[in-house]
Amino acid sequence: MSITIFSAKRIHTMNPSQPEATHIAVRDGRVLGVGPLEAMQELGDYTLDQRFADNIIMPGFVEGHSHALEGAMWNYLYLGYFHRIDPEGLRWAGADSITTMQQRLREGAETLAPGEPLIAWGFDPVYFEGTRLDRHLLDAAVQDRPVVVMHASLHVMTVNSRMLQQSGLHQHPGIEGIMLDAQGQPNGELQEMAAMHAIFETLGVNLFEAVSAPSTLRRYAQVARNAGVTTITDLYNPLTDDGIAALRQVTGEAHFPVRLVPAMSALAWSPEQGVERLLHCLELGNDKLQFGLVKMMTDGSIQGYTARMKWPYYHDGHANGIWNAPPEALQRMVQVYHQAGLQLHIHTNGDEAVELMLDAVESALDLWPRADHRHTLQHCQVIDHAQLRRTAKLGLCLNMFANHLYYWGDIHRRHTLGYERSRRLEPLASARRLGIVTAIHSDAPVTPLGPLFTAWCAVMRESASGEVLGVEERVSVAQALEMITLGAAYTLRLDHKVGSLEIGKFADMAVLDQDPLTIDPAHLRNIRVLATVLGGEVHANT
Amino acid sequence: MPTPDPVPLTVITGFLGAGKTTYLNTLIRQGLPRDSQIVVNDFGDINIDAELIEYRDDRIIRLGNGCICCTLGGTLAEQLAQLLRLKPRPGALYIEASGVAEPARIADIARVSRQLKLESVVCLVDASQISHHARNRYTGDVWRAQITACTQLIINRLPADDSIEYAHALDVLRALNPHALQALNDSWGPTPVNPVPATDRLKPMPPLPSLGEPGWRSVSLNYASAIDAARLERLLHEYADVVLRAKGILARLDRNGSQVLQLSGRSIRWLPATRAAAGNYLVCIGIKGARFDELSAELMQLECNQDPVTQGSKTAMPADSQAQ
Repeated sequence: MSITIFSAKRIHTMNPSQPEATHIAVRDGRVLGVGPLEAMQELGDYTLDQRFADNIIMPGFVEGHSHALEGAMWNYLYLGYFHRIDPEGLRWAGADSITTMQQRLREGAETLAPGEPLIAWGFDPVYFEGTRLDRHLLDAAVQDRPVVVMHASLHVMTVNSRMLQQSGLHQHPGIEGIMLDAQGQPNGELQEMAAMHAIFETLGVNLFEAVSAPSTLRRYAQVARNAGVTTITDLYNPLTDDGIAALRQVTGEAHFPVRLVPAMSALAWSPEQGVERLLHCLELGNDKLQFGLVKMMTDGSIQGYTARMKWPYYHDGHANGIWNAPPEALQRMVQVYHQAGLQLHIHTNGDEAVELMLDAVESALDLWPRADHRHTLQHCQVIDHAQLRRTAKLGLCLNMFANHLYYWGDIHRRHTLGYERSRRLEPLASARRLGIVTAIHSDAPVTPLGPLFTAWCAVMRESASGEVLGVEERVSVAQALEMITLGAAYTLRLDHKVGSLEIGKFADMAVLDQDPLTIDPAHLRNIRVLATVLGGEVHANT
Repeated sequence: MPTPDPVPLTVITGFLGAGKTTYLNTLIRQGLPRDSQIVVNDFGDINIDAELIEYRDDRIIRLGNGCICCTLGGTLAEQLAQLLRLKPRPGALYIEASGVAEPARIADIARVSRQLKLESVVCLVDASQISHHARNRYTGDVWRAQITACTQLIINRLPADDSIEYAHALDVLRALNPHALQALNDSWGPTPVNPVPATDRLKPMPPLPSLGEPGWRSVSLNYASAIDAARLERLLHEYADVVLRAKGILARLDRNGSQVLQLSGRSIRWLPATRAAAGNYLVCIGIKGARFDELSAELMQLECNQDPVTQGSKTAMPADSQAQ
């Protein structure tokens, strides 16, 4: 095979032995060498590709916590406050006022057959304080068909009067989760399981059933590529037979633009079945498909008041959260998967959930000492310093939800966590000081996929209103860049293949229009991704 | 379009080991309505499994995405909507809820659905664990919520009716939920399924020995000479219900060189030991109780000259920390 040498204004390799270079030679999809052109020329006949000569090349970004559901959400109308890029690269402006939202709903309805329900997603009430989205506001936009607006949290929806009528929910004002107006009538906002069931029952479709279809995975890959991501997880995949077949199908297709790393949802199987299934899957991967991770859910979310918190619980006095499975069952699950030699990614949002899992991992290690297990606590938004020290001692990795600082930081400051705990929301600098391998993530579709934005959050720690949450926990740009490349790769046990540009590793790159290490850190989020390179193949951005 | 008669929904709640599956099986033996559908929203437990439910496989679904995370599809709400689209429609629905489920939330589904009606919310309580559960720092709040929200309380493993513990148990439960119908059961056997109002209670039978605090037990055996591997495998299978893990480096009668034994789940694997074996030993970890003690005794018989050591120290029983 021939050698291609890409030139760049600067290459940030993330290789500590050679952090910067100008040229990278690629053969057979892998990095043959990085260095000055003279040194690359020694490698043999080559083609010089100069299209990125004025750009910055970095290792392709690694997103260590997001969901293929992102690819399914785009079946529905986008209604988020912030702009967002769809899989086709189309930029959807943020619907930042009720008027804009109503206009977009009207336009969306016009594209549908008469009577067909209109479903939208991404609405975030956090940005409309003082105004509650209710059925009247939706009726004013669309009343000739049912309208369902899924909130960004995916735990709440607001529907119009037509939808309320059709589902019969207008007759049940006494049920928890059916929110009422001042007159005691349902206002259209529905929360959690019971009310949402009535909507699914009436619509006759499952909104999320396409989540493991090949078309969803392809769209997910496009969203990733647009954000400069070349390796991405699907961190809660039940790994059904059909799901596995779909993963193998798309990653076997020529020009599929990302490497997929699904994590098996442990709660979908008994631990024994899960171990057997995953061990079987290990044989089924390819260069773009890597199995081996297990995902466990411990608690819920902080903004939904379902995260399990230690004393004094929630700042505003709300009752403590909910376990996602019995603590004993979760602890046993840790034992079984740990003993089987598999790697756990454990969702823990609140510090009580962290505590339970630290105990579980400690027990597992007592029984079955294991070097380099790389079990990773995911989100880990509220973790105190004693827990961080235990995390370091136990050899755990952390992948923190940095985007929360921006999207829900104001809520955490005022309602859920209060002043002191919001200083150490996602305590990234402390984790680094303790030598814990740390990554940062978007949890797409919960927040938009975009590692440079996520890095900006870790560096600036600014909430949407501009308040800085804990200046002591800011990390440097170089540290943040490591978290979205090599750090995340390490948590996926892929740091020998991706995450840096070094001889022998996959030639996966992100091409940027500006240098993140020389730009004002406040503008990190504005850097554009021009293209990605996956295994030497260029995927120009749309 | 006329709405068909609503399908009755029964929610069965209770902590791990409280007797939910046993109760469900008792109901099944007494006969369920035609084409009943059973939804098991439990997971991760080594002992209890949807397989233990004695009903048609095609009418049992296991729902393992957790109780609260409707983030990623496959939720209870979605699954129920899908089940109600089955033809023929289920004659009744039974949900065996997760040990940490908030039954009030599940019951609300039936209250707002036009296709479901709430039959009952049953909560099973293991009376021998009341003080343990009420004090548990991780789950005490959920335990109370389950008792508060039920319409029928089934109390298993009660102590003798003249004991202080008996009165205390019933006091605690009555304080939490004075209105639920109660059924009392003092044994491991089938649970009574026709509860009566709390004022007109059944008299309990004399108690069986209490299980005590749940916990793990480990036994370590050092064998002086080679062991019968086939017999060991038979024992581990026979006691699979109480063995969680076993491993060892063992000399086998039928092989040369040391072999590493790994019991993971239900499968036993033997691999040649890569290093010169430092000993000939077996460690077995399981659920504390008479069954495990029997197994320990059997394991000691595998070879006559061993020196069994049942360990109870913190390091040998790290699972102690889980039993708080």
